[in-house]
Amino acid sequence: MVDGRKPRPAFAPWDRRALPGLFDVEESARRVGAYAWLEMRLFEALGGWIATVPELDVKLVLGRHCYHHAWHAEQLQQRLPELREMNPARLTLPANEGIVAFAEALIEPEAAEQTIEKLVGVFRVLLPRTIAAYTYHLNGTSTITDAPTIRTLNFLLQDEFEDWREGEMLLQSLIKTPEQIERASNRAKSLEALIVVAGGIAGAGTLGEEVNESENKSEAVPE
Amino acid sequence: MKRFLPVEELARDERFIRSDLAEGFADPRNGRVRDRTISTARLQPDRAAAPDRARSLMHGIFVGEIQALEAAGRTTFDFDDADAPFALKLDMARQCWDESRHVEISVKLGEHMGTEIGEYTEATFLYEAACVTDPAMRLAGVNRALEGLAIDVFNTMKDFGEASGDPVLQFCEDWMLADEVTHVKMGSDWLRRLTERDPERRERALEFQRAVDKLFSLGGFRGETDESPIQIARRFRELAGFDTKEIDEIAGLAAESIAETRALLGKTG
Amino acid sequence: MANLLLIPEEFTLVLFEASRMRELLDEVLVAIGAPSDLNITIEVDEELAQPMIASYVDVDDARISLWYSGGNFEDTLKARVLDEERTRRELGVGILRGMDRLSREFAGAPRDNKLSDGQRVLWEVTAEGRCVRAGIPTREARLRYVYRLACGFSDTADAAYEKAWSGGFSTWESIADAVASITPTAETTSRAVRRDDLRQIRE
Repeated sequence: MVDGRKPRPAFAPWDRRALPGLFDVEESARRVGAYAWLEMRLFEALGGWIATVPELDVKLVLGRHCYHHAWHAEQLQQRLPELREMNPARLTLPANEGIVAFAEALIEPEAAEQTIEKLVGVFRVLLPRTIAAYTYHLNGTSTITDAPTIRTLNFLLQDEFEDWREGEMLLQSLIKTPEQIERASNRAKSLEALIVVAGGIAGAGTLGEEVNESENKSEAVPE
Repeated sequence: MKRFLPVEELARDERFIRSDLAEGFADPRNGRVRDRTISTARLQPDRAAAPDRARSLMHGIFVGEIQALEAAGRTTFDFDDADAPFALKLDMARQCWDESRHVEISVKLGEHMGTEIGEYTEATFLYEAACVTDPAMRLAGVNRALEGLAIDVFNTMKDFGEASGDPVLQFCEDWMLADEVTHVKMGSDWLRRLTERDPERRERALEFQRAVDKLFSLGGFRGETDESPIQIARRFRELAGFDTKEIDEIAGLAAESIAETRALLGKTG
Repeated sequence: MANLLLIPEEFTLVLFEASRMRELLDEVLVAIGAPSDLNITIEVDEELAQPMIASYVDVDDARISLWYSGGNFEDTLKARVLDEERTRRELGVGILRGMDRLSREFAGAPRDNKLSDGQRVLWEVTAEGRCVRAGIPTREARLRYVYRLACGFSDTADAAYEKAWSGGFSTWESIADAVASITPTAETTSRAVRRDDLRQIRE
């Protein structure tokens, strides 16, 4: 019979979680707010594009992914009050002007002939960046104090991986000619340039590059 | 990408052919069948031409679901946060996913019923109702009138599946019906919230809803008598939050529309 | 070719060319190897549009008598316009069933308005299968659904369909027996009266 009165350690031997983390409450909240802002722009764009793409399979995938990203935004916003921001809208901000420029360029294509441009922006430029940023966040933050953010990001990442894979497969099925290859690479190049200038989806230091912590705070752009 | 995409710019592949409404109205056959004393126009398996009427309706559902998907998608994009708060857009995004599944289901059901994409033409009434620029009106027209119609259509098809012993049709329609009830509730909820302090705006939105409801009762397409193939699904409409007065009003519009059609055909037929 | 009486002689409500319909009939007769001395009446009810389609195949005084809703020949994308592929299919099935009726093997078959839905459609399946083998394109998926609505969504019904499609039923009795074994209860009451609605007023 197990003796429930015998003392056991609070952390089982296999539980290697630790207190130290890269982000304080404020920085974690800033990043979460930046992610939420971009997820919002993304789901709105996907929703708007549904009527503009003639390819039926793409139309249906956009409809599904539109909800995924809206749900991501909701999950991230729900985390903000727990990170000391009682008004989530106040922290749901682009990381800097560069990200605003990137989002505007991402959303720009409208014509029915621009499905490749629409999908490259989302699946070859943005989603790889969100996957990278969310992964960096959950790898770097305190596994004990910021566990709720980690849980949220893990849910989001599951969608992001699957959506990225589905979008990439759509693109591979659409890109067949040298002209289409060029369109895809030109589109990726132009958006890549914008997001590099922005420093990533959470601004400078998105993936932990050396950065003055105050840099992003001053860059944050109120809407 | 601009806000408010006009119906002419809906993107389609080459299989989709738009209905020519003018041609339909000018068809000299209109009204002649009316005299044939067909005992009921209801969609029932043992009625005349039932398989082809059901297949044609399924194709209509398919294109309607595409437009519902596009309409919900546009509502996530067309409005500022001030006009359409995030929570509303979140509901519309959810509706996008639902409508996307409905298109998938409709394609599979169409194959099951022996039709194919593009066998029939596409009427774009539904998307046109989603082109209004006031989100309250859009929700009233799309989520309350058109998704309400979808409740009636899916219930009719579910009954058809049940009566014909078609387990696939019955199963799928029941699932879609569950989603549509949710969409109508979303519409009712947001209409109330958006117009909380503006009764005039609410009345304009409800007026638009009535216009859309009447359009889709045209010629007795939807109603509560034997003259209508699509029957008003009172029970499911109640579940979706319509009160008896509102349902009676829709039934009244349908009866009015049948009478007007009769009068029109009496003059021209 | 066959001695054809087309009613109406010229179409007024739909945009069908009677001469083109005659040409299509000739093509079909050649494709299915019909005898050259067939007497055929084809009556088209122009007032009935897609999707209100129906047809009847009978034999009166050794003459094949076909009645169709105009919708049977109508393009689903262009109202009032003749769909030639559909027309070939409809005429092919109708003539083949008419030729069946002229044969001894189908001498016991009731008139079309007395057939149950199941009997009627299983017979059509045998005819449409023959059309395909004669090189006339058909919409097999559509027919399968019509058949399932009449005979049920079951493996037994599907097996009978496959047999009919591949030519397994060549007498009226074999068709009637097959339908009775698939849907014994439903088929005891004929639904032909209700199905007959579309034609009723003209008679």
